[in-house]
Amino acid sequence: MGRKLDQLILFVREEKGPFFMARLCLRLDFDLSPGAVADSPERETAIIEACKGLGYEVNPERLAKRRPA
Amino acid sequence: MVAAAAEAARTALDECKNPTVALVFATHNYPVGELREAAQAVASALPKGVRVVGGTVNGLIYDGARYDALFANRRAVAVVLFGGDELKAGVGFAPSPMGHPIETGKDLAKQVQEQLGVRATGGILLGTGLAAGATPCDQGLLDGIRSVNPRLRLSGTGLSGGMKVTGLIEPGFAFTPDRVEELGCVLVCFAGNVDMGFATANGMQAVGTGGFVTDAEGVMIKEIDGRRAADAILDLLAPKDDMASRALFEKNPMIMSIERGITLAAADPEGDFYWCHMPVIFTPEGYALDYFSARKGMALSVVKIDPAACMQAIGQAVTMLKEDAGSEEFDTVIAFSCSLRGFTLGTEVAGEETELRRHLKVKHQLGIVANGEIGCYRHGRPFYTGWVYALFGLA
Repeated sequence: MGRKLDQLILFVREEKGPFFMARLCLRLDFDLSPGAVADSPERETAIIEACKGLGYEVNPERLAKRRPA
Repeated sequence: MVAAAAEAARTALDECKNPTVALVFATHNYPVGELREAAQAVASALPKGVRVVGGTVNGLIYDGARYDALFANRRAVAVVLFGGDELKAGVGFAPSPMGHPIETGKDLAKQVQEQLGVRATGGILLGTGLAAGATPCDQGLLDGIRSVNPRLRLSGTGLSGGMKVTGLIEPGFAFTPDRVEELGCVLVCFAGNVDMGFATANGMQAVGTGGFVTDAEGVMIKEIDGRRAADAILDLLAPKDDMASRALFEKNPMIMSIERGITLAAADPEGDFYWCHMPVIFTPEGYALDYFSARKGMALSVVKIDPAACMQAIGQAVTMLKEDAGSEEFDTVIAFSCSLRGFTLGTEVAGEETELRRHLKVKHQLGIVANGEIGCYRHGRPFYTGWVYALFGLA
């Protein structure tokens, strides 16, 4: 389930820590536990937008380094 | 982690040549599988016979740096050595107290008393904290400890294993060189020719009308002012004109209380201090979970915490600590600073130690980013509480 999404979630967790994830989870209508949901561009966008709403911009270059080509 | 623990032990030994007890704190983001080996490395670095115990915590504050696992994913391990000619130290260690906290508390206190041979006068408790969820243990632990040693004063924290995406706390680990216990507990107590001080402050300020708990059972507040607790709390804490924020409050009142710096609390009868009764979740029945068990008939105030008051709480705690110990100077002070203060203070939280040292002359200082604190307010007995800055000092 959700390999790309998991990588994004883990990236944000590593950057911002567990409390930020709890704040993020509150603002999304799907589970942020690793492996909980399938990949989808909509969910990825929702996470990135919610991060932005909380004052954190996901850095695409840093994220890309974590993701295998 | 193992190398860091050994290095910390060696550094501590330079300043405490004759230790009897080593207390190890590790941030919860180290692999659990390394805890025992780390404790063994600490024991190997110290003279034979030193009792080594430890636990996993949300973070550490030392030498001007904050190693916060919860807010910044940073890692650190600290070793505190207790010993010397004037100080007697004893250790209690127990597996999970879930389901029998009073008995576990008694057991911890008896272990300590047997080692010391006398009643301890003060100490540090590392309990289950908020990780015990809807069946909190730490007040039960305190009740059990007090049944063995009624005048024992304590500061401390719950151990932590991290935070779930719901905001609830994962179980922490207590460890020795031989054992690692999920939800385990540690009691370190002291006796001898030393002055000890205890203090608790939080900077909460009443801002508006609260309500009376008209029905409660255990950790559940069922009604406030005769209304469903969830409805009453939403009216008290959530903004009335912002439906989006109100909906978020309804979904997770704890996270929103932290974000907005507002919650419910009970005034201490002795002074300008509020004991936190934060609503953690709402149940489908409309009850509110309160880790600190508000009782029927209790008056709850609406309180706020802002960064300025949060920082001022350090000065208040130090004043109390000095009065309590009867000393202006301290050898060692351990601060148990609720992890939520990290959110309230933001980047300023890095200045907690500087603020403490601005008010207090102390040789050795360590801060623990805490998870459900044990604190004594104004010379009083210890209580399990939250969102506070609790101090333990050896003068």
